[in-house]
Amino acid sequence: MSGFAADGEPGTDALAGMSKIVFSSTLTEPLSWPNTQLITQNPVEAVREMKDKGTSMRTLGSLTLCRSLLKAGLVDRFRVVVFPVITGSTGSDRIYDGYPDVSLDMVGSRTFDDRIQLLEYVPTVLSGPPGTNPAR
Amino acid sequence: MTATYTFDIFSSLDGYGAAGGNWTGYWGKQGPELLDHRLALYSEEQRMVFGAKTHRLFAEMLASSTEESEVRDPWVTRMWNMPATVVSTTLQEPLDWPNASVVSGDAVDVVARLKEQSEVPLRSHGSLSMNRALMAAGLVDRLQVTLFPVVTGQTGLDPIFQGAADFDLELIEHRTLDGHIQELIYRPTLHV
Repeated sequence: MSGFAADGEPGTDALAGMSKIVFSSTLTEPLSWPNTQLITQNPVEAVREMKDKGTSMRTLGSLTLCRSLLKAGLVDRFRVVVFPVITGSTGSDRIYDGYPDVSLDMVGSRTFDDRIQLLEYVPTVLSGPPGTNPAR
Repeated sequence: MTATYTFDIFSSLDGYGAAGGNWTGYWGKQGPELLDHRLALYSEEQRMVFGAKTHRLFAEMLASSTEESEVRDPWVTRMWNMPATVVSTTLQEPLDWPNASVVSGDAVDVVARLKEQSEVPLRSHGSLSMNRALMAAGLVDRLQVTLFPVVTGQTGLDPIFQGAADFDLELIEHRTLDGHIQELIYRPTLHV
């Protein structure tokens, strides 16, 4: 993302001004993207602490991070934008690989440009080994 | 005028057509709007097209079902009683199915011919491998995905588009049922 921003990708201006956190055990400060804080601590612990302090956060992309946070029950809203394509042959970065089983309560849906679906859910991670949890 | 072919499929948000574990039919998320909508869909005159495996699984589910089972829901009963073509090289007539005939041969040829000859629309439910071949051959006019509000990362079975080609989709219709189920109807075109 910081690479896109450095290249002037449209839409990244708004992100530059926002307060950002990057979780990494390999990056070092100073970071090139403005308003970015580096956290080397375990993201699950760090996000739990920040939520306890009342900080609202959102992610964009970051599949591995999101999976960890969702598994830990730290995700309050799960927002998916479904684009009108099937990429059975060329798709990469599968969103849900390694996910637990999750029950979802829909709290919003919108259609953009008559073809793109935004779906917003409250996720509930179904705990326990597969098949032992009651489906809600 | 060729008959319209609809591929009708249920899916979890993460693209699985079924689940193991203790998930029940519809992933336990069905409600009155979904069931009424399904019954209305299957109240129109049309011919069903099934692959051999789906036909066999369905017949087994029905045989072992009780009155309360999902396979006895009114829309399913309606589907079961519709005129149907089962594409199979191994099954033989008579089938234990009220209104079905077996056509042996390649699904692409069989359905291409049916589309020319049928006076009513064609519809298929499930039958993943057959419909994957039909989509690749450009024979599917409408892809009707009913998206249930679950992720089944651990227990998901039958990924609905595994092994599929690439497609551009045109969204034709969409609706929310029972406040949390999405029905999305697309027109697929092979992506070149």
